[in-house]
Amino acid sequence: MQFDWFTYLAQLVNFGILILLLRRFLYGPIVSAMSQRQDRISQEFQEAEEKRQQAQTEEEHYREQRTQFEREREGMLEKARREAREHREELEQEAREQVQEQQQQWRQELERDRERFLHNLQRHAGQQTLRIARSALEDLADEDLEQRIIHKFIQEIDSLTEDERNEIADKLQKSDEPPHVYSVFELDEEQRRELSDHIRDTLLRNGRQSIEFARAPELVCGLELRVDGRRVGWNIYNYMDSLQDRISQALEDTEVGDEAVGKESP
Amino acid sequence: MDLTPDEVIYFSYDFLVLNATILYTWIVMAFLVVSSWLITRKVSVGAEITQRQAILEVIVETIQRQVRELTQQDPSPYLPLIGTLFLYISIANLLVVLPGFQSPTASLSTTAALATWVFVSVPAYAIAKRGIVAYLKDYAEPTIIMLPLRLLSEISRTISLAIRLFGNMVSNRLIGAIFLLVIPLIIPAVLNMIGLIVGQIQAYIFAILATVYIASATRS
Repeated sequence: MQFDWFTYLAQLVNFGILILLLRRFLYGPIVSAMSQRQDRISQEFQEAEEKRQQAQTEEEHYREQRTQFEREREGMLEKARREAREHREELEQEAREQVQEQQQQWRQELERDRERFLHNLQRHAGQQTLRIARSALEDLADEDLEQRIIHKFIQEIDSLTEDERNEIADKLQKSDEPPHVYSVFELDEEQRRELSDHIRDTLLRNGRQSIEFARAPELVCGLELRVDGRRVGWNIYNYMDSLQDRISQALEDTEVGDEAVGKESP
Repeated sequence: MDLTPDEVIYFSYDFLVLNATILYTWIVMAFLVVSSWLITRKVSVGAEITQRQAILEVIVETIQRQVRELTQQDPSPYLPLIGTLFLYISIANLLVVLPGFQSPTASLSTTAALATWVFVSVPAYAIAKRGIVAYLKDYAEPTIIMLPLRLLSEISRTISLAIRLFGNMVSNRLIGAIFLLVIPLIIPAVLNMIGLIVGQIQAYIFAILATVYIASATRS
């Protein structure tokens, strides 16, 4: 056993050198590498955490946006539904109005048709009646009938009230034209004189005024004195008017009956 | 046979001597430095590291953890001394598996030099950390009577550090040599294996004790 002082000192120095060398080549690089790695990892963790938070924020943002979109969509749908409903109601209303209008038109048309029909009927009936009457009267026409018509005319004039006579007389006096007597048939001289005399006696205030005679085939049968729009006389029209009234009445009665039947059946 | 590699002299001039202790210390130093340099010259700070670098990192990390646990302080100032003590003793004791290799730790000169490093470093660290006044006060705690005892304990523990390592390593060699004479088969190999383990344990004990001394001195 020996203790070598030189070796001891040499080993002291050797160990010191070894410490320095290992610090330079081992601890320094390794420790710095480890700490750098640790820094990097913690940095990456931090970044990951930041990204996670960012992602979460974005997710929340998108979720919120989606909710809002859905709300808006719901609102728009609701609006569209409401508008559609309103539009439908509008259309229905329009259609209803159109139908009513059409009904109204139909009704009016029906009314017009009826009136037209009545008119036609009246005309036809009148014409027919006239034709019949004319042919009947033509068949029957003789002096006797004419005489009777004249008498009837005179009776009509006679049956006028005092006021009516005054009114006619006033009109005749004011009028420039002479009074006209229209007849279907040709009046002979005697008949004219008879009529003139009678008219002068009853209606004219100055007896010298002349009376004109003319023919009017539309009268069919009868005599008429026309003074400034006023007619006095007898003709077959009076009868035809009452016939027309009756036909109209009959048609209306039928229609009322039809409507009643229409209401009962759906 | 030689009990200590100090006596194996290869070259001497005047007072300069190149004995086995110094030569094999250089070999261990060269082994440590060259292998460290080879690995750390291409050190990677990323997640992808080489296996060798991983081994080095595990070693350094383990030493750091041990020092941190014992001192309850940041291990970085103590890492070069403690780490080099452990690595030097460990590798010196490990390389005895090579034929003809003589561990420098079997030389009292070496272990005394290592213990001297600890002896000097402990107050150096303590003063650097706490200041010279606070450190010196510790010797007179709790009373001034404790001063001689404290000084004695400082010296004795340094000597014990040196003697413990030296004794263990020499006894290993001695027991190995004796068994080689008595039963030259199998048993010496087993003893050599045990010697390797003892060498590692001694490296650990030496480093741990140094750490404990530093810890107790740097803690207020």
